[in-house]
Amino acid sequence: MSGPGPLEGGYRRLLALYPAEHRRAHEAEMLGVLMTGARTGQRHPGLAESADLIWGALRIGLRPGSHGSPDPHWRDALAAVSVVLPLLALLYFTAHDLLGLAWLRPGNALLAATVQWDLRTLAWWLALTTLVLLRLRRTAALAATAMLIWFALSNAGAPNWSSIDPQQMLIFFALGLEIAALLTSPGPRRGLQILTRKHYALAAVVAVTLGAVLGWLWPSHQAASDAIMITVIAVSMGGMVAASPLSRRIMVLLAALAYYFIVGLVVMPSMVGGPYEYTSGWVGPLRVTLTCLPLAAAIVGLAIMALRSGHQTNPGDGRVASIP
Amino acid sequence: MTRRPLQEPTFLILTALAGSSQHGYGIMTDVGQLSGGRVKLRAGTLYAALDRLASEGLVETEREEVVDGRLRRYYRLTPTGAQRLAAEVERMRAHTAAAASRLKLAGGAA
Repeated sequence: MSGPGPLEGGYRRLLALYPAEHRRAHEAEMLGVLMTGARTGQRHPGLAESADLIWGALRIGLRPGSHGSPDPHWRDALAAVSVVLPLLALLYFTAHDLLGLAWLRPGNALLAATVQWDLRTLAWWLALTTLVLLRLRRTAALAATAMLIWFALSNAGAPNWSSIDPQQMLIFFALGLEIAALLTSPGPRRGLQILTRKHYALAAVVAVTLGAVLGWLWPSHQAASDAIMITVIAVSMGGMVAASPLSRRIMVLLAALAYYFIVGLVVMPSMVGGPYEYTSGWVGPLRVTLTCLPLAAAIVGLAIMALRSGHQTNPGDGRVASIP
Repeated sequence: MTRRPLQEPTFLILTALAGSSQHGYGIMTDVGQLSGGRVKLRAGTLYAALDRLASEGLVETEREEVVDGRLRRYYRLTPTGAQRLAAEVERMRAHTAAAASRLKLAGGAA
């Protein structure tokens, strides 16, 4: 018996874009509809038809609580993170930049450039936090994606691979996590329901303390600042582990960010004077390994999840045995 | 509670199912006829809409059958779906009546 023709093969490839659970339930049926609607002699899916199937796959895949999304407990944790994360970033950068501006002296070009850069980042986080608080899940996801692209383009001229910056990775991870949280959970609407005053208070204390210490104390007392910041992160994350299952899940999701924050302190570049002149900090294979470790772990984790999802999938072949 | 108006493809899909249950291809052709050929529903749009309508409890699967070796699944309106469609029809009827009434007044004054 010959295999499926090119038209059916083309449709199958497009249907493979749908979430696994949707394919299990509807692939055979959709294939039947597509083949029934095909013109005589048609050999390939049409352009409009292909675009429509891709758009349909995106709509179903991005729907909150859609097929293949995480279990309800993790969806709640992701919904909470979608609110907490931009709030943390906004408070952190606000505290950091206000103190940075207070320290700003004429002639300090490096500090001026840093604060200018941070103010732009702050504006992005402010916009994102506003959208999240307005419960605009999809618009917030688009804004986070735009910010990620902006940040990637701004850092396109990084010196070389061996000096890859853990602080840049922190922003990449934060934005990637925010986009994932917005797309795979019910988003801010649910997050605002389940977050308590204690969560907000903890986020405010941690973000403002870290921002203030880094913006004010760090330039003069680096070792003491590092110790304070690592202690604040460790104590707050330890407290979340003990607090509740929801807090524990939020902590797990934010763990990579805490890791990058601490690694960023270890390899923080040091200023040696003059405009834009600073050492590249600690450069070498160990830095690359430390910086890329969570990224590699995330890629491996996602690959395993995708493979498991593929194994669980048993999509129909479009044809089923006739009912006698 | 105020509901958002149904989008036209959604309205037409529910209308196609209001008479009797239909399979996917049947819904697509019926929507084309109902709209006088103006709305051409494709499979991706249809199944994204059916997925959403099923999750909202407005449509459900009635039965499955195999025709020429291919699976056909029939969908029907749920009682909630019928109520939602009826509410939308009433909303549109009220708007139509208001528009017709004002046009009549405008015509009279001219």
